[in-house]
Amino acid sequence: MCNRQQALIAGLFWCLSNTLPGADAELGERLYRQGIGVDGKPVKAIVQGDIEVDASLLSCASCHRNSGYGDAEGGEYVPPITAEVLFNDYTPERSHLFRNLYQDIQTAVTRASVHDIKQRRAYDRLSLKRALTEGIGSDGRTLSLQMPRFQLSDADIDALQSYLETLGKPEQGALAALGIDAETIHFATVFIPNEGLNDNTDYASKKQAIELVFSAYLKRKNLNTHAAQKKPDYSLGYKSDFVYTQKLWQLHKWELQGPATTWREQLDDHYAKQPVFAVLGGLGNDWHVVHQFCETRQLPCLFPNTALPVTSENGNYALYLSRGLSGEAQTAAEWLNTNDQIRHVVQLYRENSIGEHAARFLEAGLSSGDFNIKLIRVPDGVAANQEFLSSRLADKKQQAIIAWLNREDINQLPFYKHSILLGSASMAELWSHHQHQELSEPVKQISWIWPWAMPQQEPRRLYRVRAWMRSRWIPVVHEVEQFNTFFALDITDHAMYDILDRYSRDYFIELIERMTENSLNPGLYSAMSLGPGQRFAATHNRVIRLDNKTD
Amino acid sequence: MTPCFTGHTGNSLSRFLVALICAAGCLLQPAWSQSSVEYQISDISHLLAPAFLHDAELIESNGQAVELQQLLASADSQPVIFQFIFTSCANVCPVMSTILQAIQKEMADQAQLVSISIDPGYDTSERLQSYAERFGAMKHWRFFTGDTTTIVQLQKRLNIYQQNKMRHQPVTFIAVNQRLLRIDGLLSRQQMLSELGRLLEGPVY
Ligand code: HEC
Repeated sequence: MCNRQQALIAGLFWCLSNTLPGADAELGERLYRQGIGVDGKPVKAIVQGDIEVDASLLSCASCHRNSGYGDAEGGEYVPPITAEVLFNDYTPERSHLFRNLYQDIQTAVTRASVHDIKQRRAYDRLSLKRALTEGIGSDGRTLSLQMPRFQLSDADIDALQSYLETLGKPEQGALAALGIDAETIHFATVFIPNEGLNDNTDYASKKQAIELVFSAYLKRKNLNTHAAQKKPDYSLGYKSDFVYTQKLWQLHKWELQGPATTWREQLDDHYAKQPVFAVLGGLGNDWHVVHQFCETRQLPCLFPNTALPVTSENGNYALYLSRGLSGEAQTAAEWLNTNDQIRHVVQLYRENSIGEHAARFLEAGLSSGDFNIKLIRVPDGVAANQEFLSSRLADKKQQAIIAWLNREDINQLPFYKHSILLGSASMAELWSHHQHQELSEPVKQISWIWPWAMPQQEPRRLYRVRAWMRSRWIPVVHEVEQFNTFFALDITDHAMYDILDRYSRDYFIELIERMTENSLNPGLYSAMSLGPGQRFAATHNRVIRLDNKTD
Repeated sequence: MTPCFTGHTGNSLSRFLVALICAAGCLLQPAWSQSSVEYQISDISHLLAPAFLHDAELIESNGQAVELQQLLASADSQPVIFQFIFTSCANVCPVMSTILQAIQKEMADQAQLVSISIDPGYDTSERLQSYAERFGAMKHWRFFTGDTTTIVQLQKRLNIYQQNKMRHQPVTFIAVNQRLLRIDGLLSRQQMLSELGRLLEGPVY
């Protein structure tokens, strides 16, 4: 047996795992996350005293979360069970309490649970078994009936224990590998130049506009941190106990170059030079390579400006604002499907990655319907004007034109009496032009797939964020990209405030899932929200006309 | 909330005492200090007034539109037990659904079970159907969503709305015989069954 001092001297891991020869932490992880026992079958459990369930419906992770940090926010308080918490005595030391209080605790029940400081001994094999199978805590207390009583074999317990001993905060030495130094926390952002899309002056000006937001935000953030560190006793309450967790933020700009096949290697090189805790924002059309990089590294990558996020699979670590083109194509498909009049669909698209992807997404989305689909590709250097279209477009009844074009094309488009629907994922300028009433009448008569808040119904925070930019002399020239960047920074700031020194990327992701909601909406979207496993924050597209008329 | 009872009510004297204590403030116990499940029941029948829950069109997981009024109409003969959940919800909802799962066999010809998503943007028909499947839902356990405005309105009227769905509270509603009851907390199977039994017997509350 290890006592606490031994554990401190010999190292917690070594000491505890020594008592468990051969137990398999990977099987423990599977049990923790999926409720599958060492024998490969779902574990059985009793919840609420008399309800039999499969642990696949109630895995440890569903309540204590992947991070092990639990959930202080939902209807019931679920305590942290990370290695550090579980295998140490729990004393009414104030930092334990305050760490929990830092979290945004909502209900009377959870608030009371957190305030009632528990005193209990460190868990060992025996007490862990009793907690999991009989619901008796290491202090002899009967645990709440919401914590299921599991039917576990000895092998299950061994596997779980080995896994729980690795769960949570890394040892001090490992922090550098997460991008955290004594004084600094490192973040990165990724820029991917447009290949063959719009002109590169556009890319350069967007990138510059985004960089201004980053530097203004970090400047303010680091000034505040300096101020807090200079006066560590500034607060009579508990906040000053945690000043040491406030670190300076440093941002690394990872600018990718050359063909997409080399991007992954470039990202790995950047990361090897300086690991980062998370990737924030960014700019690029196609995010697939970055997505894979983030998932394999288990690196949170938040809210890039991209029209092509990965939507085919649900990642764990890559979070997006919207589904981009894929979401717009889905909206277009729904719109066509509910419109009984339409039999013929013409897809007019630019010969570039945006246009081609969008057309392909919509074709797939319509495959089950009974539509006659025609594709018209507009080659580079050719204008999508009356002359180009009249020879290719038959003026049919029951026809809808869905166009995936560049911004410059809009003013050239001839006016058609049939429904014409435009995707706007690659045209964030549209939002700004509309905001500043710079759209011509014909453009307003087009129906748009609109991923943003409805005109004149923008959330009020829009004005606050605008004022924030203005007061820092940031020219707001690419509002959507700049506000998205602000959002990525702002929510990270909130999450880091809660994390204190619990540097777990899983916990970070869980906090972002919880905090992404309307109150942090930078004003661009009608609604924002995430939840466990949800990876797209603002998914609500509408079909609208900007002159407020309907077709 | 009046009247208010905690779960373990034995004879009428103790029930009276519990009611007294409750009236003094319905103290919430810290969740972890309990060795048995506690919950509160309140009668909110006044909300059944036609003006209140009308105009709430829900969409069933098979795509059918159903008026909530219509759904509750069957409560004249059979209780309708309903809960608000969302499919990606991690800690509270699975336990709430587990309670319905545990009573669905007994309730086969006796009650309607209803789960309504509070996350319509994410909980598509497919997601609701696969959630139902995971819990082995039988025919009389139905799953609904609706448009965001309707769902938010409905929660506001029932006084359970949270801006952030992650702060979702465990509440179960039972509509029967022109009455509407609200149960705050997570019950055991036995507690749920005996509450239903008492309800069907007559006006206890
Ligand atoms: C349905 C939600 C739920 C699930 C599933 C769940 N737990 Fe818990 N767990 C809780 C709650 C709530 C508590 C707090 C109980 C209390 O303090 O009264 C708890 C407490 C514990 C404790 C005691 C912590 C302490 O500080 O004394 C341990 C250990 C624990 N859980 C481990 C696990 C493991 C391992 C699994 C999976 C095999 C698991 N739990 C699954 C909700 C859950």
